[in-house]
Amino acid sequence: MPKNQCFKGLFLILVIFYFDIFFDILLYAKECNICGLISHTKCMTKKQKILSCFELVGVGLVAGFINGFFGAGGGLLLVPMISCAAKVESKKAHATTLMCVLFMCIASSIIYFVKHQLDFKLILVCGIGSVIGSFVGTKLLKKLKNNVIDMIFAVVLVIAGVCMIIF
Amino acid sequence: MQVLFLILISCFSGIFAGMGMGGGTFLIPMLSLFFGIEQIICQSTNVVCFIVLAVMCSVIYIKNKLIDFKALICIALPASVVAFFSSFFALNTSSEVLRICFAGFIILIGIFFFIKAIVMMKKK
Repeated sequence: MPKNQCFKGLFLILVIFYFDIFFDILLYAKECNICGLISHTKCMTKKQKILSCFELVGVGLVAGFINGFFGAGGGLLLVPMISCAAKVESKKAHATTLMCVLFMCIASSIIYFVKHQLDFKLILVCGIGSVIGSFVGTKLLKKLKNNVIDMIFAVVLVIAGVCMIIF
Repeated sequence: MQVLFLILISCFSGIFAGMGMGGGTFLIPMLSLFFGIEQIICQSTNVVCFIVLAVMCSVIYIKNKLIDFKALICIALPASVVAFFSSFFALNTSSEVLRICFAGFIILIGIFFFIKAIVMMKKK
């Protein structure tokens, strides 16, 4: 692959990310009312409803691109965005996100299957592990503090990312 | 031995997934760092594993009526079309570039979670 093309692709993706993450943090700040913006939950006019529909489509486009390209992370971006754009409670936002990501994953796994990029042995092993883990996780969710988990997750991700660039 | 270690790692990623954070963002770097598996294979593994998990969970969610169907249609339709094409794009990108892009992405996500945790702590 020519080097020039690589850098062009990389640049494009990075621009999309920065835009996306910035948008995400902004929305999150709005949700927490840091900026003093108060979201109108109940008194939405018809115009606002249509606007929120457009917002959702935009959010879907970004999350779809990221989930398709990296095979992960669409859900992470969708949860705060849905809970803001559709003005739904967080439990409902989680459930809706899961369904959305399910559809995206089906779409991209069709391509991986057609292009023979699936390692079925690996999938079987990882599938068993993650099913067990998710049961433990849903049980643990009620017991552990949310902030601590967020911190651990953040640190692990940053370290892993730096390692991936270096090695 | 390797299989046990694989199960352990995917177990951890499942725990993160069960808590409502991206399991895949944890699973993919671990797979490619510890096992040296090609980036695109890691991605496809994660995607298929997630389908299994999500089908199980979504049955429960539909029964409990926790899904906002209007939002679902608005998001899932454009998202799956874009995901379809962008995974084509990923297949045509070399594994090295994909790896570096992914690393940048998870660092950004990590920073985002860090900020979120700090904001929530201050709020309390």
